[in-house]
Amino acid sequence: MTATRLLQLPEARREDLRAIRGFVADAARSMGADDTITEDLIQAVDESATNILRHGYRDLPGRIEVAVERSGHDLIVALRDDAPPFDPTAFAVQDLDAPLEGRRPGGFGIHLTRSCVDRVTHAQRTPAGNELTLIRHLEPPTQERPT
Amino acid sequence: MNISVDKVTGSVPVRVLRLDGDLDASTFEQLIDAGRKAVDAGAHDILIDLRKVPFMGSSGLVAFHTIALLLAGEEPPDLDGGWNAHHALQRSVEAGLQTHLQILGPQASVRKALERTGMTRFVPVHDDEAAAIAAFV
Repeated sequence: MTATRLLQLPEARREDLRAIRGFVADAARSMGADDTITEDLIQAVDESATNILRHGYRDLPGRIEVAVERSGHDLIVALRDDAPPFDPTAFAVQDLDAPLEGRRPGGFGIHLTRSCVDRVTHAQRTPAGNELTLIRHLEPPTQERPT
Repeated sequence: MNISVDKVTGSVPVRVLRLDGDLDASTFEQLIDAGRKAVDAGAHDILIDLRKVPFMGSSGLVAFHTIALLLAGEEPPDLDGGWNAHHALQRSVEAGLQTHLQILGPQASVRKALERTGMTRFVPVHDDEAAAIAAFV
């Protein structure tokens, strides 16, 4: 496992999204990600951080920590916050071809996040907050990624 | 993000919104404001030039959807409603293509986001400006 690259924003707001994307781009490239994987990680982290800011902190400034590390052939990005519990993985996977009836609601941000990485997990932190983990394989996927 | 506005006339007058910079949750409301001003000034057709947009988040999709609804004379969903805006967007994507709002020149990563969310079923996308203007009838 490589050394973890860490970005800490004690009072993150929407205007910090650009800095978060820049940090993820630098960290991913330094850990061996190509342009396609880097772009996908940037998209997934931006969508996740936007969710934290809009739905977790309701557009008030709040702490966000972004940690990037490489473990074997995986890049792992963890986003930690102090917001009320919010689990985006609880939303159903979007099938854009399926009829709306009978579908559980879910946003395009979460759909985009899922389509850009191989795995998304959520954990509630103690005493408060959330940790969202995004995992992206550096090797070519064995199956075609959902689009 | 900077937005400049041009008026171009093909078969019909088209307002072209040229974006320069990232289109994300911190900037998408600028685009909505520019679209609203164009509609208030009488625009019926809008082309959004994305050639200088290196990144677009899903907030950009909400902006496109909001402007398309304004062009259709409909009231857009409350942006503070969170999921409601996304659900309204989902329904419009499934309702199919509209032609009063069109998109020009998305970069590869932006195009990927448009395709992954099915947005290309709702908004026509062009690579060439002359062809885009000609597509408004």
